Amino acid sequence: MKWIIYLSVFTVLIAYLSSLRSYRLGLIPVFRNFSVFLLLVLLGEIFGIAWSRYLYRHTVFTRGNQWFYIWFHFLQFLFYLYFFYSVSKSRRWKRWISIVVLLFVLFSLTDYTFLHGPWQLNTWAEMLGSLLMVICSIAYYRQLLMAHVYVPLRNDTPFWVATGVLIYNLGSILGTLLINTMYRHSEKEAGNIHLIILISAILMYLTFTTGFLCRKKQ
Amino acid sequence: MIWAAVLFGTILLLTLGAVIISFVFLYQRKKYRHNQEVTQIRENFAREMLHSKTEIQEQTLQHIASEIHDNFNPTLSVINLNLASVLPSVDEPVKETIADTKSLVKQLMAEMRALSATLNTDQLSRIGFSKALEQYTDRIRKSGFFELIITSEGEPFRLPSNKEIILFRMCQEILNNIVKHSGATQITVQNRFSLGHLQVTISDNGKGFDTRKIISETTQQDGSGLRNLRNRALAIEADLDIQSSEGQGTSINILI
Repeated sequence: MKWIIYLSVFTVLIAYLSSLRSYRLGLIPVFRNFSVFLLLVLLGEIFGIAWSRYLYRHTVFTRGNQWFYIWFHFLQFLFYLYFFYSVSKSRRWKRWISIVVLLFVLFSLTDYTFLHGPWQLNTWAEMLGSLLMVICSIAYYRQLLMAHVYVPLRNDTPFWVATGVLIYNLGSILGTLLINTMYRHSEKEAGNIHLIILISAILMYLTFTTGFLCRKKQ
Repeated sequence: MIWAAVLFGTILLLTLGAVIISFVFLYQRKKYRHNQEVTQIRENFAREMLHSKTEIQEQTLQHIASEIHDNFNPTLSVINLNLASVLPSVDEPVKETIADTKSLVKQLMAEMRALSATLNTDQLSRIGFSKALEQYTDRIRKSGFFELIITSEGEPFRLPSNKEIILFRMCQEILNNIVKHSGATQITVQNRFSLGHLQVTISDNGKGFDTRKIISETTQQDGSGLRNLRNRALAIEADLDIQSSEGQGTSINILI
């Protein structure tokens, strides 16, 4: 299990390094922000592991790292919504994303305050986030398919980002839904579900890497 | 057990994702092929249009050339004869004027013949591109405003007649532009024949122009000289390269 956690962090590192190409290629700000985002994800993952492996077991902290991942995932969903907002060409779609961001924030706060609380994963908010990510990815595909000009997919970074986001969220949605329950009943089964989520994350970051490496100058 | 159900469900969802992604890929590939086909059809159509246009243009020029040859020149000859017939019966000061007029008419006849020759497609096909270009540059040189050097390298060969005509028209257009707009004093025309390729380079020492600006303007305006040149180059599958900058003269290279 340990090795796959480290492998997932390694793939974030690879994705971050490849995203640095966006500076060299002079891409629009959203891609440069994506690079910063991946750096923060990397640091976040390292912090999450450090908390789980060291602070939680060997210091006075008595809680797992789930309190951290609530905020971490929440911010990630917000960033991806910002990403899809930026690459969208339809005003109606942009407006829809703006409204959805508000609803998502409200729902997440509700889940945090009244439903799951701060010490276990806010699975309802995560479910909503994943669902929104799937919708945004498919909407981006629709934009590509409806475009009058042909866009070569291989060189289209947003396509790869959308694909990564779609893979991760489809791959993790069921696991996320059940992970709290599983942790309460069987740590081994929860570990297996965690494994599925990690594999989805690895696939996502590899897809991001492909997107940045295949990108051509604008 | 539950995790196995989660695994199964996840695999199903990922399969669904894979289907969606594959669909996007396949659809885009289809779109790409379709775009290519449309571009090909458009290019073919544009080429056909260009050929038709060139053909019509050549027919018109041919008509003008024969009109000049068959109508203008005989009329001028008659004028010349009339002037010659009245010349002995007039007074001395008028005689001089008539003699001048006769010489002007002769000059005009020679100009008309030369013009008719450059417009005449048949003549162009008969004498070939190199000779026709030489004759045309001779006319410019005779104007006395330009120092014109024409050189030829390699073993000359003939191109297909339709290509020669279009190439000649391109050179005519370039030389006309130099005469009208460049303010040049020197014009150099170089023909290089090598391994089935002909490279024609026409350069001048005129005021030049900003190529990027001109190109962006020609994309907005229809029928400009540069666009004509590009279209004609496309029609004969020639490479057209224009090098110019303000104050540095212009060099136009056609490789066929």
